[in-house]
Amino acid sequence: MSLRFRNELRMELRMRSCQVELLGRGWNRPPLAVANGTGSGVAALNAALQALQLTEVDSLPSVARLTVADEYVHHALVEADGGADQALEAARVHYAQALQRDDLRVQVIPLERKGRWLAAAVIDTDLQAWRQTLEQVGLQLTHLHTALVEDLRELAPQIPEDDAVIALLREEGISLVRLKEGLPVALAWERLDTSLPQALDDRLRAFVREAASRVGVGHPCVIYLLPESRALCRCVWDGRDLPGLLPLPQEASGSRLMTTPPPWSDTAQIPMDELAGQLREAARGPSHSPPQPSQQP
Amino acid sequence: MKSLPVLDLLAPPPPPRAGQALLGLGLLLLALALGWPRHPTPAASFSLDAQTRPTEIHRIAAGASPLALASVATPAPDETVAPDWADLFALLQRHGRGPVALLELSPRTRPGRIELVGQTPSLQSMVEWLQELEADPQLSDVTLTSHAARVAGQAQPAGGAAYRFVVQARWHAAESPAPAPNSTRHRVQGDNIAVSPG
Repeated sequence: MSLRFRNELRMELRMRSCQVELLGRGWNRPPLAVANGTGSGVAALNAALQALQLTEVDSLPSVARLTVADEYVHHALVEADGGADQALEAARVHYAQALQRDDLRVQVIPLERKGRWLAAAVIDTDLQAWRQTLEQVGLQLTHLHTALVEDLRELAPQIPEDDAVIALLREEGISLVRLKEGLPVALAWERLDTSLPQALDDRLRAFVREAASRVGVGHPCVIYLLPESRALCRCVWDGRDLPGLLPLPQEASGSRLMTTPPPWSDTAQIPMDELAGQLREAARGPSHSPPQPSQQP
Repeated sequence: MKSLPVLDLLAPPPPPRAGQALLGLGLLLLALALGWPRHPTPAASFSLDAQTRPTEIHRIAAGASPLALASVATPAPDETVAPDWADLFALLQRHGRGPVALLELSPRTRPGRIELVGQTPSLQSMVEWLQELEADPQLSDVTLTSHAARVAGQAQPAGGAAYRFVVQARWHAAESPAPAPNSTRHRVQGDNIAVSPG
């Protein structure tokens, strides 16, 4: 539940549509008015605001929150020791190198105390366009959020696992988040035609594999999928249908994968010394190979 | 999954150590709500002094509502002063050695009393430690309120402790002696505690 001390306008801008809600003060209440607009980008925002003015709204509030879709935002995880200023500077450097542009509005939020931050950036020209659209109807943009972070905040109470993959379907692609210890350790935005199931499946597999090898997590995992209908789907992926993923290397006794076995309760945890012995035996050849650990593909 | 903080691209970046600052502010407000500092400030001492003035009590009682009358008629709470943390740390230094390990210290379990939780490998060492506390001039009415022995099969605690116990004791400020057994009235004025026979 949330308490609002003033009326506020909440706008959710997607690539081809926009929804606007006028919320009254007080505890969670139904919206006083709702309007929708269609169009491309800022045109949808303009249409939705004009539709809202056609409703029986006396006056527009002074608080205007705009949540923009992932297609408008560049998200990244940055490492920075120190405070928010250092993290913000690190994020700007990251975006300058990755996107080759510096006309971005950047913000960071801390993920944990070890210096990991989640950064988000929008293009300044987009921000100016949204502001001007709101000013045309006498509104001032006071808050700008991203759909990815807002969705993760909304989903957090519904996801009991600390190790999982979250896939958020968008109009023009999919946002992927790998959780470890309850916090994002890998992010990806995959632009694809979401009407093609095979494309979604392939990107999801690739992300699971890439995250497993890069951040040292197991690829058997729980996957949450949030489609456009907002009905959260959960599935457990045991990794066995991922042929070729994470092949057992001959020298794997010291690899990050094997030193961090998956923490799921339904997998058999093998002591590290025993695991190392098995791997050494496996490296000598098939004739010496003992039974492989059950959690390995 | 852990909850993420709000990301607002139009907000100024969070100040460094904002979390610690908020936590500190919260602890300060909590401490103020609990009545810290316990040594009365000049304003606080005036308040305490006013409560003990008979004329003030009569004046309130004469024109007060039944509820106010009831509150005035209620006996004053135990007026002993809770210790400050420096005194408590000094107490721990005096009695924190030997086989008894102190696990927890609660200075405000009851007004004027402190509560200690410790563990020890033997009941004999616990009794000796209680006698040591009883001999401390800042403590009196040392009472063993509960104790428990480790059940066979449980993990052995560090140090081999087998008994855990809880002790409550009445606290007295460093400069004031422990009261005689029949002394029950304490009066607070300024930074001093005067003890008079009840």
